[in-house]
Amino acid sequence: MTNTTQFDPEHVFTPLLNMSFSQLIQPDVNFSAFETVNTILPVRDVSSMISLTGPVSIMLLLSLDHSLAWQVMTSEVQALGLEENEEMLDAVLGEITNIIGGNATASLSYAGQPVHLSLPMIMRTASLRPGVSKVSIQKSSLSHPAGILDVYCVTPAIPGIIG
Amino acid sequence: MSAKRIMCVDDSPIMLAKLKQLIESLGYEVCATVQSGTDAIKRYPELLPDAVTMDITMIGLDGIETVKHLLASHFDARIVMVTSHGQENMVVKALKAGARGYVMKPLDAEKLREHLALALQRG
Repeated sequence: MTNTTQFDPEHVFTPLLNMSFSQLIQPDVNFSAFETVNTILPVRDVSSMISLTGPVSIMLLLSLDHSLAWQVMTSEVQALGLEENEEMLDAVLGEITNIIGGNATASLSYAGQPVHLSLPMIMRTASLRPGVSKVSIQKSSLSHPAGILDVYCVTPAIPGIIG
Repeated sequence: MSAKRIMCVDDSPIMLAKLKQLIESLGYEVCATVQSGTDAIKRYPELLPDAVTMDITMIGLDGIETVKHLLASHFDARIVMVTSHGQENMVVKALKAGARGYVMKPLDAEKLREHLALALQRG
């Protein structure tokens, strides 16, 4: 039987998620443990996606209620003296996703093989289907008074090379 | 003595704003913020900054290729990579291309200060 649970998003992504959102969301950030799910529905109002490929193949999807995404954006841009708008919301989410994905490459590279990081992609209220059989979809959530933030980790069932 | 002038290259307006704020807090002048490698190559000869901070993952010309282009025409350009890429091979690639330092995002003021100072000191 093929082992399909070699990749551990908890180990790779949870510290990065906590680091990225802890300064932008008050009160405390507390992502739930990743759990295996069978689908990525419903997608929330705003989603940000990035892929990591090479010795691994992972799509990381952050999907947020607009109210929470707006709070994240305002926390970021107010300190920088920038205008609050939807364009900035996309830019903030893209940058957060890029930093999480980029920092994850360090722990995902294997035997010197490079991990390629895509540019982050922002989507608005769109259905998403991986279209690939035998994928592992794992989900983490953050509950906050301003709304919910869901994180999906999608990766094909590849025999593990990452501990 | 006038402040050293830094040009920042990053495709994210948020990161450019953060870099500008942080670099100015370190006592440098940010003479330009540009959002692509192509713009960096165009603006560099006009501005001749004392140092450049360079993102790696950008639409179009990426940061590594931009470093190569800049150094081909300005061999003494002092470039510090500022990127989220955490892989050792990416650091090596950037340094081989001629970058003088490598700072990871999220930004750390002390590391940025250290790498900018080193880049500006070296001959």
